Amino acid sequence: MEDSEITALLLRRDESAIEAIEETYGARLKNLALNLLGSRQDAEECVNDALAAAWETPPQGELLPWLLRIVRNKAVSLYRKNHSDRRALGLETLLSELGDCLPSADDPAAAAEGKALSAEIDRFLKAQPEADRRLFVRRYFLGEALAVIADSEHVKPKKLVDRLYLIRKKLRTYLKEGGFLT
Amino acid sequence: MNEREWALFEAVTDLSDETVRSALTAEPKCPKRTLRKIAIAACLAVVLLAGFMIGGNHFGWFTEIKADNPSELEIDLGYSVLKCNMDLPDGYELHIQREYLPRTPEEKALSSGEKERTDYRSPDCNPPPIQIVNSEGKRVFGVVFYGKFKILEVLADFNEEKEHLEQHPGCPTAILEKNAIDKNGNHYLFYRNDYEYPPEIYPEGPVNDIERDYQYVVDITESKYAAFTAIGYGSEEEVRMLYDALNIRFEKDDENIPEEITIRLTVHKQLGEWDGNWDGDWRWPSVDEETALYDGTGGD
Repeated sequence: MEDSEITALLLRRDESAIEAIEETYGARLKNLALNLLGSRQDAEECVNDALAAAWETPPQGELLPWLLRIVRNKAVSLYRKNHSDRRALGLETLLSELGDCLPSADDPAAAAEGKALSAEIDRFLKAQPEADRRLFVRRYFLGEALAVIADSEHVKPKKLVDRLYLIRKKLRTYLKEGGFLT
Repeated sequence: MNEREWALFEAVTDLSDETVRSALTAEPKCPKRTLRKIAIAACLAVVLLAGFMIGGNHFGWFTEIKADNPSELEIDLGYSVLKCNMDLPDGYELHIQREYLPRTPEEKALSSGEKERTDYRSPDCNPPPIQIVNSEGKRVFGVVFYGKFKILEVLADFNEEKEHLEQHPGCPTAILEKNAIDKNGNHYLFYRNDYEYPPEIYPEGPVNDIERDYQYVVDITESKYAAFTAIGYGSEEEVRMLYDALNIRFEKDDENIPEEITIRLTVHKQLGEWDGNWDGDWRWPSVDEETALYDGTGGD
């Protein structure tokens, strides 16, 4: 089913929209949740929560990116809820890697407001070569494992490690020079 | 996890549809270098040096080869032939001098001919550099060959590495030792034959032992530059001139021994910006004068 049709179903409060989303994007949503949470059980719970949220909220922008964002947010909520009992290695690893983009932990300066920071990261990524932009999004938005990305990109994982390291460093410089992180 | 990391994570969540979509729909192309790697792995380009004298079919342990107008070079390694194409700048000529630096008494016996060397796969078989000298006899180019022969890896797109360097000079990547920029803005890269695993990138160390021995050979059929390993040899002034050196390491592979291994490279008569301190990172192995044995320090 086309995205426009699914969106129309959602707006009409037609319950078949959820089924259509599961059929069309279920695998992607589950993959993202699993990448972040590391547990199939948590991933299923996350996707269910996300679908419930999608039902309650009017779609914003393109359908799949919107759904993926909801899954990410639900994954964070689930992680924070279960953090004391279980670990979500995928999510923690991504957070740790993204930490490279930040200045010293001792620095008391706060990051910019969420939307402004997001816009700057977006602007930064758009200025990067397509391959690097894709790599960053696959790794830090979709949470894909390096081995998976490497396999599809026909490169060795260690090359991706190097590239990601450089991208993060560039982003850090970019954010710092832009005054978004001091 | 601190709140700032979360803020960044959430900021990534709010990336634009366009940016997110770029990762969802784009099909990665088979990198050009992968196709090139396949071609090179199968058969690298071969160019013979005209008028080249080797002194026998086999490359002896002490062999000097001199070519007046070297453009091609062929070296018979016994079970493989190494051929190089070198476009030498004016005033430079090619000398091939193979000096074996033995590390043990046994190797000394092998190098002197007291004992016949039959195993080219010995890890201690360490053929020395092929050197290019200028008209004054000063060495300005070095190539190192090793006794184990197998094409281990073909370097990634040079331009990618160049960009990498531009952004992160001296970055401790797997293959990069040093970089230099000459007065014309050309970049020169210096590669080690060891794989560096900086802890900030590889907190758990090397992926595996095989990767630790990776040797990179750049494909320069389309690239302007050659693969480099700077080899210190002679005075510091001469060392400064050794910016273009090809370090080729081959490992014999029972399953895939190429009939011919060839490298094309271009010699640049260039001096890079050098701080005058070699830092001991790479210099030609030193030899104990009394025993004439490699003392295990320096170089490789």
